[in-house]
Amino acid sequence: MTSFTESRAGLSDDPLHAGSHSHSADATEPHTEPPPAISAGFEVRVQYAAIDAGTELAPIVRNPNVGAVVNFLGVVRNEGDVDDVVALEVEHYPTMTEQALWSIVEEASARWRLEAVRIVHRVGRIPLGQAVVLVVVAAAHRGSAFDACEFLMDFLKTHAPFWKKEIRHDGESGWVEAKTHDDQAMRRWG
Amino acid sequence: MKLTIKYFASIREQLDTDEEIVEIDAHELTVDALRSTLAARDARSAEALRMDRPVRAAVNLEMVTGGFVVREDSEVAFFPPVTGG
Repeated sequence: MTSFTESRAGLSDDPLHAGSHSHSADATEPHTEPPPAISAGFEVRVQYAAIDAGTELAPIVRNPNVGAVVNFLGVVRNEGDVDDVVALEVEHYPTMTEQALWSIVEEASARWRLEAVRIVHRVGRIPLGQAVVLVVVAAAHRGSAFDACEFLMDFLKTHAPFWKKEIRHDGESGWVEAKTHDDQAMRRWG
Repeated sequence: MKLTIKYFASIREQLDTDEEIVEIDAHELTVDALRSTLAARDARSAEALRMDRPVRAAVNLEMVTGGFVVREDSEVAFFPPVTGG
């Protein structure tokens, strides 16, 4: 299997357009840039490789409009539905996953004024202590960044087609059950 | 009508298949009716897709409820409630 990557003309991925977001605000330049939209700095990605939070954060922090960056990192822990967990196996529904994550990001962008959002979700086998998911939200101020990050995680947990299986030390495994408190957390957003 | 059916996670394991193409003889077919038709084929399908189990469905990559009417050539997926993050 291969990892599926999708990004929409992110500043960080396209050196030709690096910095174009801030230039477009310059009235002396001809207005050749597309209108501001959910594009630059917004990215969702599903990957088999380990998540490197520092690398993901760096281009977001460089954005001069960003004053607050909130990160959520979900990590494989020892005790879930069962104890003695040594790894997770994460399965997903390719194409639908990316589409679902994008619609969650679009909803967050409609509710808060955000400069950047990056969601990276790992799939395949993930050992204890390693990251399963990274959500980075950047805004001018911390209030919207904190709120949007919580919103994104609540919706990811209930709307994005991922399934986790816990692998125990003795080799036994079992699918993680969906939690009612995750549904409740999602509903508070109306 | 011809449909592509996908299965994920515990349902995929129980059925021992991740995808199949089926031909269903129906004029109007809801997701629930499709699920019942598939479940009626054999004991393994009956257990994996039984109606008292929380099974979610997506049609053409969008989550839908059981009353959603499926069109010819759609991709329909059945899976347990999601547990990502």
